[in-house]
Amino acid sequence: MGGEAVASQLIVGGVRLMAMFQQYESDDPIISGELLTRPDVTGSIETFFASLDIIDHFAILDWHLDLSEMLNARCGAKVAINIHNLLVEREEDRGIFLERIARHSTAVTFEFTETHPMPAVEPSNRMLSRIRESGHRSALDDFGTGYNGMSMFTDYDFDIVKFDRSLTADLTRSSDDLRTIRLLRQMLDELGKAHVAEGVESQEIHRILLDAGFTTFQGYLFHAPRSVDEFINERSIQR
Amino acid sequence: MTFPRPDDDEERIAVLRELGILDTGPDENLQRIVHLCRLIFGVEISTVSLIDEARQWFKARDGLDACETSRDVAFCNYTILGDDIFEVPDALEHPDFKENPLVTGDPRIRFYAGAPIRFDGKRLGALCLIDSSPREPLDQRERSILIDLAAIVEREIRIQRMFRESMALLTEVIKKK
Repeated sequence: MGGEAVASQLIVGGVRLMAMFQQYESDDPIISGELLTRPDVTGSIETFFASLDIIDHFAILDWHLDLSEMLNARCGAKVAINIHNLLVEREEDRGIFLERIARHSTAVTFEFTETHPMPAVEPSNRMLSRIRESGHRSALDDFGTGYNGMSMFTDYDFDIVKFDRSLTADLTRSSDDLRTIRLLRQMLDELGKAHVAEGVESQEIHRILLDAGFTTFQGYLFHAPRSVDEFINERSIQR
Repeated sequence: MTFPRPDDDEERIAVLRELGILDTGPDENLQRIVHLCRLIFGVEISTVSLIDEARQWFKARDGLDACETSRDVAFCNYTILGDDIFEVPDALEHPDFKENPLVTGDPRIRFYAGAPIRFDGKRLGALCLIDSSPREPLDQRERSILIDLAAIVEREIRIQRMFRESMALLTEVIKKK
C-alpha cells in the first residue's frame, strides 16, 4: 500500500465515517498522533460503535491500518489506532486481528478504549505480547475512567498508559494529587512504560505536568483533531 | 515426556497467574541479570524461566531465541521441586535427560544449573545456566553467586508487583477526590 491514497471516508452500517488525526505534543514522540473516527450520527458515538458487528469492526481496522500506512509514508507520522474491545473479545477474532497486524509492516500503536471490558488478563497479555512481537505497541486509553480500573494497572501489560483528563484536570501546584500523579509517572518509568497525558487544555496544567516529568501530551491546547486530508496536505507543503 | 510435578503444583500455578507476569514485556533488570550470568559463569544461555501449567515461559533470556517451550521438556521442573540449586553436569549421562529433545536437538543442552525463584512461598521457576558442553559442578563460590542473583530476581519481581499494585491504589485515591 505504501504512500498510495486511501479514502478518508468509509461507509459502515449505512453511516459515513470521517477519518480525523490529532497530533500529540512531545519533543520525542513515541506516537505522533491518534487516528480518530467521527461517524455522521446525531446520537452518541459510543452507542454507534457498540451497535456495529464484528465484520464492521474489522472493516474499520483495515481502513485504519491503510490510513496509518499512508500517514507514515507521506508525513512520517507514528500513528495510534483505537481498537474497540468487541473486536478482540472472542479468541477467534483475536487470532484474525493478530494475523492482520502481523502483516502490517508500519509500526502502529493500538489503543484499547474503556467503553467495553477487555478480555481476561491471561488472553489479553498473550495478545499484547503478540502485538509487541509484531513490532507494534499497545496503549491503555483513558486510564482512570470506565472499565480501565485497578486491575488494568496491576495485571494488564500495556506498553503505554494514557492518563485520562479526569486525573489531571484539577491539579494545582501544591496539591497531594500532584505528588501522587508525579509518583505514578515515576513508577511507570521504572516499569519501562511510556505515558501520554490526555485532555491537556490549559497552559497551567501543561506547566504543572511538565514539572511532574510528563513528556507527551494530547489536547486542544496544542492540536485539535483535523481531517486526515487536511493534515496530509499541510505536511506535504511543509516538506 | 514425563516430568515430576511438585505437590503444590496447582496452588503454585495459581500464584504465578495471579502475579500477572506471564507474557509480559521484556524487563531491563532481569535482562541484565541473565546477561551477567552469561558473563560470570561463561555459559552460552541464561534464562529466567517460569513454569506454567503446560509450558515454561522465559521472562528474560540471553543466548536463546525461543520465548517458551512445552513444560514436559523443561529442566526447571526438577529445580522447582526443592529450595536448592539443581544441577546436571552432563545431560547425555543423565537418565532423565539424555533423551530430552532439548538435549538431542537444539540448543543441545549438556550442562544445566538452576536456582529456584520463589514468590509468596511458591517456586514459580528458576534462574538457569545452560551450555552445550558438559561442565564440572558449580563450586561453592559459584553456587553462592547464583543463589544471590536468584534472590535479586525474586526481589525485582516482588517490587514490580508492589509498584503495579501501588499505582492502581494511587489512581483510586485521585479518582475518589
